[in-house]
Formats: sequence, C-alpha cells, structure tokens
Amino acid sequence: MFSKGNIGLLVFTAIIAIILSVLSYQYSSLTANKIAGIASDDVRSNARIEAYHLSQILIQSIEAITNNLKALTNSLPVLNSENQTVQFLLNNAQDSTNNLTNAYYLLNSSGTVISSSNSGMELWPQAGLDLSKTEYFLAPRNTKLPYYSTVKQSDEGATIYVSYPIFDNRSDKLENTVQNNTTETFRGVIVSAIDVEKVGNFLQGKLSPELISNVGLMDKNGIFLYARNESLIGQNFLSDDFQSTIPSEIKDSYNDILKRSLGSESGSEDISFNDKTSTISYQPVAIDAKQLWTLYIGSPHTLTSDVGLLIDQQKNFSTIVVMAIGAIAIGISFVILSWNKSLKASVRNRTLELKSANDSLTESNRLLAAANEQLKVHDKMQKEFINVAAHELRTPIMPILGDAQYIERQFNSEDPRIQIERDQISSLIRNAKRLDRLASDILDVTRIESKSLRLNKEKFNLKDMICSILTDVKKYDSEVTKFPEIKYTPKDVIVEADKGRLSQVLTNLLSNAVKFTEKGTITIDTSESDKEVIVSVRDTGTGIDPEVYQKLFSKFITKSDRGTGLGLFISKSIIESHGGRIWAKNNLDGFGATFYFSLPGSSHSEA
Amino acid sequence: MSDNSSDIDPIKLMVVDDERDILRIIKRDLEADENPFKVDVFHSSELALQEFDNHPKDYYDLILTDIRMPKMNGFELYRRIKEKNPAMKIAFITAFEINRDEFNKVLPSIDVKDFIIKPISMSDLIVKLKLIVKKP
Repeated sequence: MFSKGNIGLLVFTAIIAIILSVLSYQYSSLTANKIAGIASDDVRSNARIEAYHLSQILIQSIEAITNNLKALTNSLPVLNSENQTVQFLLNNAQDSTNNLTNAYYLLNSSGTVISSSNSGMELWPQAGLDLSKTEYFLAPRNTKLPYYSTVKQSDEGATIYVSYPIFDNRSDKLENTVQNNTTETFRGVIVSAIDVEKVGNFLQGKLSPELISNVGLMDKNGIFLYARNESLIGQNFLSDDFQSTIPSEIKDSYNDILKRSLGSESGSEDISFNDKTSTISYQPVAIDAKQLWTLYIGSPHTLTSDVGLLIDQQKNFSTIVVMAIGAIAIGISFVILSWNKSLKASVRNRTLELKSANDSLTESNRLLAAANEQLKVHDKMQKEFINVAAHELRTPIMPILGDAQYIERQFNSEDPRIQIERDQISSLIRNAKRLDRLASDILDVTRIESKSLRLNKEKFNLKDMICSILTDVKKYDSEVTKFPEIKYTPKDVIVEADKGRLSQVLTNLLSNAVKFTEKGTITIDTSESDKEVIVSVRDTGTGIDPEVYQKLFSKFITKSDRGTGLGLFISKSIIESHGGRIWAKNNLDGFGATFYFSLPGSSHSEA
Repeated sequence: MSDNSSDIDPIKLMVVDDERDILRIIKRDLEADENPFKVDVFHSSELALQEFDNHPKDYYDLILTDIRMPKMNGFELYRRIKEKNPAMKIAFITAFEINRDEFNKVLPSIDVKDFIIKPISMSDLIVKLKLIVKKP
C-alpha cells in the first residue's frame, strides 16, 4: 500500500507518539508520587506530632489525677479519718478531674469504703461497701506503690482504676523517734475511677479537627484501654475479636507495629491496604516516670488518596491528551501519506497516459512515416505508370499520324493518283486498337478502384472460349516471328461467368505467357472438381522475376517492355469479383511459370 | 532511291525501334524523293549492333534509337556503340514523358545531346535530324 519509507515514517510517528504517551504518563506518575509522598510525609509528621501532643495532654490530665491522689494520701484529714473533710476533699478532687474520672473514694485498711465523692449516687460505692477483694485495693496495699488497673468493665462502664496506698508515718515518728525505719502504718487506699469513655472523648476532643484520625490507648500488656470500637475495650490486641477485624493481608505487619508500639520508643509507621495508606503513630505514656500506656493515632491518608485521585485523573487526562495528539499525528501522517500516495499514483497515471500518448504519437508518426513511404512508393509507381502510360499512348499515335499525314500529303500533291497500301490501313487499325485496349485497361482500373465493375454472368462452355481466344491470339501476334507453341486439349467445362471479362483474363494470361516465352510451349489446362473450376496457363518462359513476385497482382507491376502493368491487376479483380482466386508460381523444373485461376463450380446447375 | 545517292552524299541514318510501324513510316518518309537520307531500320538493338559491325565505324552519320525496347534497351545500345566509336552521333527518340534535365539527372554518364519525343511529325523529324547532323 505504502512505500517502505512511508511505512517507516508512520511507524516512527507511532513510536514517537507511544514514547511521548509513556513519558507523559511516567512524568505524571512521578509528580503524583512526589505529591503523594509529600502529602504522606505531612500526614505522617502530623500524626506523630499529634500523638506526642495528645500524649502530653493525656499525661498532664492523668498527672492531675495522680497529683490529686498523692495529695489525698498525704492529707491530714485522710490520715486523721476526718470523714466530713475527706468527703469534701474527694468531691473537690472529682470536680477537678471531672473530665476523666467518675469518682474518687477512700477505702480503709480492711478494704471497706469510707468515703466516696459520689456518695448518694446509686451506682457508685457507698460507704461501708467491702472492696477488699479488688485488685486496686490489694495491689497498693501489698506493693506499697500506686496501682494502675487495666480496664475493667463494670456497671458504670469501662473503667480504669488508679489507687494509691495511704501510709501514716506520723505515729511512728512520734512514737519511735529513735528508729527511723519503723514500719509505716497502712491506713487504706485512695481510688480514682477513670471513665474510659470520658478519656476517649477527651482525647478525641483534643485531636486537631483537620486530622481525621482514630485515637486508641493500650496498656503495656497490649490490652485496649480505649478504642473507637467499644467492643474492643478490655481486649488484648492478640485476641481473636481484634485480630478478626484486621484484613489478613496486613495482619502481620499490623501486629508488628502494635508490638513495637508497646516498647518505650515513639514511632510512626505506614500500613497500606487496598491502595489506602494509614499512618499509625504511637507514643508511650509515662506516669510517675513509669511507662504505663501507649497512645496511638491512626491517620488514614485520605488527603493523599484525594490528591492521588486528582493526580490520577490529571495523569490519565494528560496521557489521553498526549495519546490523542499522537493518534491525530498518526492520522494526519496517514492522510498525508495517502494523499501523497494518491498524488504519486495520479502522477504515475498521468505519466503513463503521457507516455502512452507519446507512444501512440510515435506509433502514429511511424504509421504516418510508413504511409508516407508507401505514398512515395505509390507516387513513384504512379510516375512510372504515367511514364509507361505516356509511352504506350504515344507510341501508337506516331504511326497513325505518320500514315495519315502521308495519305493527306498525296491529296495535296498535284498528282491525282493516290496510293494507299494495305499495310498502311492495317497499321492504322492495329495501332488504333492498341489505343483502344489501353483506354479500356485504364477505364477498367478506374472501375475497379471505384468498385463499379459490373458482371454479366451467363453459363457457357469454357472450351469454346479458349478455342476462340487461341485463334485471336495467333492472328494478332502473327507478325511475331518466333511464336511459341500453344497446347490445349479441349474439354467441356461449363462455367457461369461474365464472358467478356473472363475472356479478358484468359487473353491477358495468354499474352503474358507469349510475351515472356520466346520459344517453348504454353499449355492451357482446365480441371473441374465439385467445388471449383481451375484454369492454368503454363509457360516455359523466363519465369516470374523475384523482384515482382510479391506484388505480381498489384497495379503498375511489370517486367515487360511492353504493356502498362495493369493486366494482372485487372485480371485479379475480375476473378475475385467472380468469387474465385488467382495465383501464380514458378515451375518446379525451373523453366517458366504457371498462372492459375479458379471459379466457383457451377455443377449444381449444369443439368 | 539509290539513283539519287550519286548526286549528293545522303545522310546515312540508323533507326532502331521495336515498333515496326514506326520504322516503316520513318524509312518511307525520310527516304522520300526530296530528302537526303539513307535509312537503315532495325527492330532490335542486337540486329542494329550486328549491322553496325558490318560497316566501318563511321559509316553512319547518325543513329536514332528508341529507349524502351525488349532485351537491350536504347541506353545499352548507346553504350555499346560509343565503345566502338565514341564520336558517333546518337539521338534518342522516345515516347517517355521526360525532358533533357531529368534525363541527365537519371543517367549522368550518358551525355544526351539530342532526343526527340514521340509522336513527332515526319517533317519536324527531318528538320531536327538535319540539324543534329550539321552540328559539330
């Protein structure tokens, strides 16, 4: 369809278009990835900052509680069991940390509730309630250290208990001044009930509103103290309930992150699932220089994915634009090449047309040249004919004129005798006849050429005609001294032809034979078949000159010194108009020639 | 005819033509009483050459020959006779449609001085022949 070069050009254009598309896509991807990276970095650092920030707030808030507890354990009213004042202090403490705690209460050394900030409220432990079996009572009593419970589900909701032991040193100092290391007296425990829901709301509330994140809190054993999903609270992150919520694809990495978060280091790690990335930032929460919890913030990269979506759209759009431009370039190349090709084809066609026109011009020139050559030949022949005709016309005139003038002169002389010889009259007649014959020939040619040669056909016996002609020929050429012998075996052959014309043909053939046969024999023969009658005139003369053989039956062809070269032409026309053929060949023995003509058979009408 | 020959030397003329009727009238008219010609006629070049050889080379004063003749044409005869006697005066008599220039163009080797176009009346022919003979 296209040339190699053009196909190459198309392929080149296509390749360039594809490369540009790919480059555009790659560049867009690169940019998108960069932007996504920047956005992710932003999310990541924000999350980390936020986690740190949040942990500080949490620590402060928790410290407020522990400070309350500390203060209470050292307060005199507590030590002195001034119940009214204690009640007041507990209420104050509760008021100051109301945002996190549900209640403060005081247990005596045997684990019985002495006082509670929420006295009077049904849900909360009332004075006299025995809590001696609780962990938050036993642990501080035994360890003499503050106790932080894990989350407990109670009637009040998820709760974390922080309890401080109360030891009284005063009596020891007073009673045992010598011994400094006397045993402290365990006086009870101050407990604060931290409401997990409140903690959650508090943390969530402190979170920067622009950061769409989830906050969680885990203790160092991996138990969720707080999570958005309430059902998880109190569960270990390794529990089936939690694990079943993690997609299996990221389970391991997610668990790894959580395990790491339980360490003392803060961190920020990404986790990706289904093209969505989240950053999990974790921050250890230390209270009383003791690491208790881990705060973590999960920040899904929604911004990144939004930006990514936009960038993807932009990327796809610009790629489509480049591809469209490429396709258009290819299309245009194709159209131009097609156009170029059709142009080339039409140029080629035009060239071919011109060439063929030129060829035909050359051909017609050649034909013209040939025609011209023919015309020249014809001209020459015509000229020769005119010469020959002039010769033949003039030659008889001279003797006619000579004799006539001779006789006329006798009339003019005084001598009344007028001598006219037989010879003179014969000469006059003979030469006049010669002129007549010539005139007839020329007229015949004119008739043949104007196609107005008419035939008057009749049936006759060819034998009679041949015999008659033989007599005439002998009579006419009687003056010729050397006359060839003419052989003819008479045979009845009936033909249907124009008697005069056929006689003309036979006479012509015979006189030609005589003309070219000085001595020897001329043989006339007739043969008859169903189809045709063939007449032959065979002589033993000089034969047909090869120079004229090809054009023997054409006009003006003669090798004789007498005659116009019209005889055979006229004969041929006559025979052909009878529906026959005329031909000639040199005899195989090398002496003379034989002329033949055929006439269509008339056997069907012979009867 | 031979009676007159003693008076003046007749012009001896050879006429060659394949037309016997022409030979007949030329001989008859040229040898008529008042005319100074002695005419030998031949109806072929061969016969004419034979007769030429029977006489001294300058026997004939003029040879008048046709051009178109069977076997040996007038040009050939001209050449043969010129071979024998270059000084021989030879005139052509022809019925061809031809003039002197064309003649010389076609056959430059033959310096044709005189030719006569047939048909020509006998009186004109006599005048022309006398003229040719008298020319140097």
